Amino acid sequence: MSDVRSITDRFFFGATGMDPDRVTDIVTSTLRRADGGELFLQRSMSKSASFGDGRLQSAGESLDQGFGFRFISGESVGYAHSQDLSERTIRSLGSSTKEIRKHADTTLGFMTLPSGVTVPRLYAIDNPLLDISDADRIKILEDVNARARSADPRIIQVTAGVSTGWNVITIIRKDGERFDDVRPMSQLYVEVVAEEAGRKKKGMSILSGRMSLSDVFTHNSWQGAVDNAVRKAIVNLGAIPAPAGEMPVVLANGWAAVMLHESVGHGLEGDAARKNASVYANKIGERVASKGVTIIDQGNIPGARGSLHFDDEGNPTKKNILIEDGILQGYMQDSINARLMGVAPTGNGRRESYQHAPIPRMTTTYMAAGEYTPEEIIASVDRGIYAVDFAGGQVDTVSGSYVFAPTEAYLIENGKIVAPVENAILTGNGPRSMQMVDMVGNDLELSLTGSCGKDGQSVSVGVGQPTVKMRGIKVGGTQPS
Amino acid sequence: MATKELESIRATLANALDLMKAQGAEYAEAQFSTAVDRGVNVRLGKVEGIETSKSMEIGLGMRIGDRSQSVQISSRSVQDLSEAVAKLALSLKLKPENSYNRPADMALLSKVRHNRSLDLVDRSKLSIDAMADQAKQAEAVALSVSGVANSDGASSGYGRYLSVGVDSRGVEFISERTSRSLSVSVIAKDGEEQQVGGEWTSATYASDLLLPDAVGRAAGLEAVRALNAGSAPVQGKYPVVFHPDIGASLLGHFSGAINGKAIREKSSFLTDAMGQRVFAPGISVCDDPHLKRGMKSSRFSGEGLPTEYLVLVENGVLKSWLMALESARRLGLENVPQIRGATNLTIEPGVLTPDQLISDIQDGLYVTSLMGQGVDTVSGSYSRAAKGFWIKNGAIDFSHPVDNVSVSSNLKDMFLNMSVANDLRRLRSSKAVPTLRVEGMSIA
Repeated sequence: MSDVRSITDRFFFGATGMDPDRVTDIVTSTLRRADGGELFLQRSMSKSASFGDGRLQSAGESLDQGFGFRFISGESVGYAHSQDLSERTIRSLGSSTKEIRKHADTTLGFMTLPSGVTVPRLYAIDNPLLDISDADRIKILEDVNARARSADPRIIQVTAGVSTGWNVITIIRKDGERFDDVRPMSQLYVEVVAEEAGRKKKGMSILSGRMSLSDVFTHNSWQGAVDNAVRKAIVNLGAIPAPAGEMPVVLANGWAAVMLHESVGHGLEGDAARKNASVYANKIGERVASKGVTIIDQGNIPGARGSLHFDDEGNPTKKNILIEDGILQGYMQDSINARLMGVAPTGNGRRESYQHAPIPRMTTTYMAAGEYTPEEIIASVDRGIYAVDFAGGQVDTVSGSYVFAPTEAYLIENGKIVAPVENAILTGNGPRSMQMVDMVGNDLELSLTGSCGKDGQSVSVGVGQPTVKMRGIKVGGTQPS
Repeated sequence: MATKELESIRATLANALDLMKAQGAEYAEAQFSTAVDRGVNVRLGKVEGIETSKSMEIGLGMRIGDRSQSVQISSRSVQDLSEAVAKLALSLKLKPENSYNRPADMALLSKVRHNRSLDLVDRSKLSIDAMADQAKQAEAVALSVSGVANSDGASSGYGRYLSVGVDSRGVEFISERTSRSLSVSVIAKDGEEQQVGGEWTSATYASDLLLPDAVGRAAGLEAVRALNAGSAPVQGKYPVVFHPDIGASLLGHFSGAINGKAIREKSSFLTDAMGQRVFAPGISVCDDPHLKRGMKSSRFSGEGLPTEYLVLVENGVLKSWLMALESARRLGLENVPQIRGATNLTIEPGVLTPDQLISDIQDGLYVTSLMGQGVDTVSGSYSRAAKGFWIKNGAIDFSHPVDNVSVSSNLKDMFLNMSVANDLRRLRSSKAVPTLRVEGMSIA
């Protein structure tokens, strides 16, 4: 990591005039009576351009930097943050976090955390902002716009954007151990509107990864992304009203796993489990899903959006099996919740930025492959819905209720896909739905996109799954069946 | 604010303007925003977290000929500022010419360039201990409601925000505001089933907040009443009544649909609706930028134009868009009142009480929570999952909670078939509505 440290040293110490040894002294002395905690330094640089209405709408760079200081005392946390990277402000705001000791009625002793762990490299250390010139970024957007508009005369609007970010971070823990990382992220999005006979429909496509923009285009074709957005909009122009009622639902492989993320993943985060605010609380060792269902959260997949060398507390990321063959194995943990539940941290302590204290979050959450081909799965359905794409969904982790509105879905009749449908919404209860998984496909695919919000913090995540069939899901359509 | 702080901000802004002029800017603007926030979270009577933050952001914009470019940075160091300005000048050259996004003419700018007459700063002091006590009290009341078994926490917070904007013509806008908030979330349990209930209150002034007891009681009741939820009796078309906090989301969809950019890009279901009936007769939608203590009140828009009271929908008929200056110029609609964003937006109250509004509904749904993102403002198609209570024989049946009920329609039809109660609370939120009733939504 010595190359990485030369980068973080340059931004956090060379450019600010702060001294690394003196800053470490501030951290260790301020946290002397704390159970744990750390200083989190961050410099986040990004560059983006967007295109719409046939022309460049915006292009620019942004810079955000600052620090977050955390003082852990028992179950309580004092947290302070500021953009002012100076020893004086770190000392004074850091000191303000000690106030939590007056309010915390216990300390639980010093936290011991993994130390001296080395991890394989998951993403490059080069500055991704220098990867493609500004002029070439704009050229890509012009080409995207031209390709979408020429693909079909019914396309009346194209908006597209590219963005690249570089997140430089240093963590100095209470025990003085220092962690450095440089985290790239790039994305292309394309959204089109198609119109026919007064009906307007959207189609959207995203390519993304924790890598430079040119690497994103090495792994995927932007032309494919454009064609896919156009195809979705045109398909939806021909959509018929969705049926309503209880029926089997087949979820396509890849991004449809957003449903898994929302309806199961959030309930397996350690804070919800510890506070008994999750339907999965106190159920380790119990059957919570059908046999054949294995769910994994893995923070160390090279280049994946949710991947990190170590989480935002300095704990190494890893592969965590959450549910194995239907049986609950464990939760995703940050340091605080892990300690309070008597288990080891799992590398899931993440934060949106220095402005937030870390909490348990997902990284890349996926269902392992099963034995059926996707064709066999569709052929097994008499009447149901095949849901391919979602704009997103929402879950109430306390009750387990979820809702998803597919943006691309089809009616299946007699084992065949017959027509696209609109206004289908899928509702259910996460744990109950996982008990209704009938067939798991052999076509596991990890999706290239995803961001997740929780407690006002957004972090990049990934999802994945093979084609999956569930019995008896409630479909709320407008067409009585 | 302290004069010393203001002087230091002005010096940074003047330096930024000079840097941009040195790069050839013919017009330059710079805005300095600061925020100080403190918050306390409690859970089960204990302080779980105390958060303190001091943040700032500098926005820079410059223009040469018909090319303009802007950037935001969160550092006021001389080196970062000059690097940011140098990059700004470089990337400006890549921008296409655009005469539509030039700044507003001096003559059109608001003459009032502060918000002191709007009462937006609560100067009362609030200690961390007092904030913790409020949150603990709200939580204790919520936990005392019979059937509530657990807490998801309560929090109390305050924030103070300052923004100073200047441009190379010597104009300065200054705005300062405060916010206070209190919220609690608790969990009711019955066997394996658990349901969450929450309540929040936020306002510019602490004295406009709901009292902790009221917040706690509302959260507790919501959680307990949601237990043992069933589904809707029979699928079909029914009147749906939205609690004001939930109905406010419909106003959000409306404000998105009348935004000038959506109109220009023809990506709104109201693109061709100006001057036409878009809501039921009798319904008015208004935006009041001068509401005293309003959470989004301001005498001037983000682009420096004067703000005034706007009736967006009058007696059901669409009267005005809301748009940025660039959209207005592109659409040839340069009359000043509509060139701004939404501030304190309301659907105006009617005369019936909520009980009267519901009294003739034999079967219907009362919605207290909505989930899911099935709203398409291009086509207006609307389809979300609702939680609430069944309405039977003219009254809400609190013994019949429902969950996971899908409600769908089209926003066009929903607005045209809407009626309103008289229970608007203007300071509740920057988008506030009374209890709303919508006829003929599909329920499944």
